[in-house]
Amino acid sequence: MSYRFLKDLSKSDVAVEIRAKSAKEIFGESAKAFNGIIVKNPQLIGNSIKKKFFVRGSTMEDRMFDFFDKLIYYKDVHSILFSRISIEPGTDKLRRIEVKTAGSIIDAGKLRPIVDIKAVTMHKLSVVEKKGAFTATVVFDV
Amino acid sequence: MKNDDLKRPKFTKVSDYVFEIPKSYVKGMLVPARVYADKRLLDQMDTRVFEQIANVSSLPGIQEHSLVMPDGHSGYGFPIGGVAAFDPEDGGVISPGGIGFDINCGMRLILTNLKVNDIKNKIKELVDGLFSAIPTGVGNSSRLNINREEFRKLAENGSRWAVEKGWGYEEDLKGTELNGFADWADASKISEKAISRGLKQIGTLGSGNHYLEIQQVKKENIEDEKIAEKWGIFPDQIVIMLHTGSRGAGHQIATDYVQRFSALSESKNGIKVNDKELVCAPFLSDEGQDYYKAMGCGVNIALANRQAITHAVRQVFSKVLKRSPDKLGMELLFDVAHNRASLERHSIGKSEKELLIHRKGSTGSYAPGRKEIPRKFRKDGSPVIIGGSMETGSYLLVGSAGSEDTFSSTCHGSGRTKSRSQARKSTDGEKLFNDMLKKGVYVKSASWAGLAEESGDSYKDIDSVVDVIHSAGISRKVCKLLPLGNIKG
Repeated sequence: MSYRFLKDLSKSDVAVEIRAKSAKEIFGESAKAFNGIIVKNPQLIGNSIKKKFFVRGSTMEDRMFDFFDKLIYYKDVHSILFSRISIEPGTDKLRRIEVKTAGSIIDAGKLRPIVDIKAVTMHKLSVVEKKGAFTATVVFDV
Repeated sequence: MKNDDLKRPKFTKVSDYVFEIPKSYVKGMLVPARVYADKRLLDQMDTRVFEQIANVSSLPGIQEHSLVMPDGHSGYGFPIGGVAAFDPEDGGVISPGGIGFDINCGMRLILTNLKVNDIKNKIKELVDGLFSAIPTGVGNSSRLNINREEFRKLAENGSRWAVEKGWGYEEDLKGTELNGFADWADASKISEKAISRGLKQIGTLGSGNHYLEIQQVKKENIEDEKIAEKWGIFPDQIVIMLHTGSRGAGHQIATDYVQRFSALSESKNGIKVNDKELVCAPFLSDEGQDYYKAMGCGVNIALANRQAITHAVRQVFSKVLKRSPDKLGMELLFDVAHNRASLERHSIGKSEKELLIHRKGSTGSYAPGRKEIPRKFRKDGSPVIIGGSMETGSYLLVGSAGSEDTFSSTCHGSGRTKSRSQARKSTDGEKLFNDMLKKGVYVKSASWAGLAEESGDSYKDIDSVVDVIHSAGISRKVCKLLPLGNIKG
């Protein structure tokens, strides 16, 4: 698991630290954390539905915020969780990132929901690079 | 400025239940912060609560002191249980993080003329019926067919819209704060994205700590017989409590404005905040006014949601017990928010000012006579509904004179002591279900893990929390309500 819960950062909501080997991977690992908070069996999320969207922001934190906001939108409006996230190499340095995804409709019987993520917050939101590896800290409103 | 290594403050004891954090605790604090607690509850609060309320005390236009209620615990931006008053004429701000993303999340209490013996063999049938009639949990959508145009009307008319649809009675509006709708709401100020998220969620409970509970009033738990009788509460009575809010639409409204304020806060308005989640705008600025009007829509969405659920509750009770809601005496006692900003008049020193009161996880508790109280309750004070954990019970209180010291604010629940991941590690949801069943409480939940997160030992002792606000004179106990059946997301 490339993320861990931070129990001291927020009692009422869910705080996680996500790690990835590159800027490209941090979005995919973040989606895994997102899924792992919401359902017990994220490994059973399918990949039959393909979507493409853009993430914008002047900083990595802003882009991460926008990324989670888009995941929440697809979950609430289309009942989709994404198992695969793909970002074009190098685009993470731009203000606009193209994100290609594959996922499936939420099947509660199979995925076993735990708790809903209703919003991403800016509280303690950070994306830190160290020797090419990335660590993101995110607090979700649940 | 980063406060990650903050130590606990040196408190000044103001009274047995009020402890003050000095302005020197964090650089930039404009006013002190006050914590309502007894010594034990104060010791239970994590340092982040004090860090967060100190950051609130640094916001422009803040008046007198920021406040933490006894159920206070760390959240994002404001702590949960946080209160702050801002003077718009003094550069006072409005902050989405000070209201909570679940705009107008709140409590509703529905009365019945039933006694425990009338339904003791029907609890399971009622709970199962409620669980199937009211969508709960992740990905479970509303069965109401609402289009975008209707949603805009709903966002401007709240419970009034739902009552016009036939999902309630005119009388319900008289038992709802703001008479059922925020009249300052403007649907042109909310995004299409917020509408999209809201369309499938009206009449749904959600997940997390949201619930619907069948409760009993025990004779020995009635503390104020006079008020109880006046409000239609009697021994052995069955009542129904509901806790939910504006769902995805409210969250999207807050997210949209956090992003907008974030881009403007420092560059246009020159406001530096200690926590990005405290981004804000002067209340009288264009963007501040836009958010206020959008927040009004969030208020109305939550009111319409609770009204639609009330309709479903009445239908289920009517079907199971084979009597009309009228015959079952299913009247709404009150609907009260604990995540909202309200314009109210309060005394500051020797003068009275119109202030924008932010309450995040804090219930309005209005002393007798205040104009915010619906007419039928005004003489006695506002009803205050405090939801406890599903294991320990809840409270009905009445606003009292001491609330003038808290900008008419009180606690909203018992307050978490364990994070959600800690609770899941220490509690087995299925075992908890069986233990509660043995104690006579039947729970239906969409998820064992979700149930574990809401175990009684994840929260502070509700009795201690309520004792503080009662003893401090903010809200006075009317009665305690004990669970018999509960549905959770």
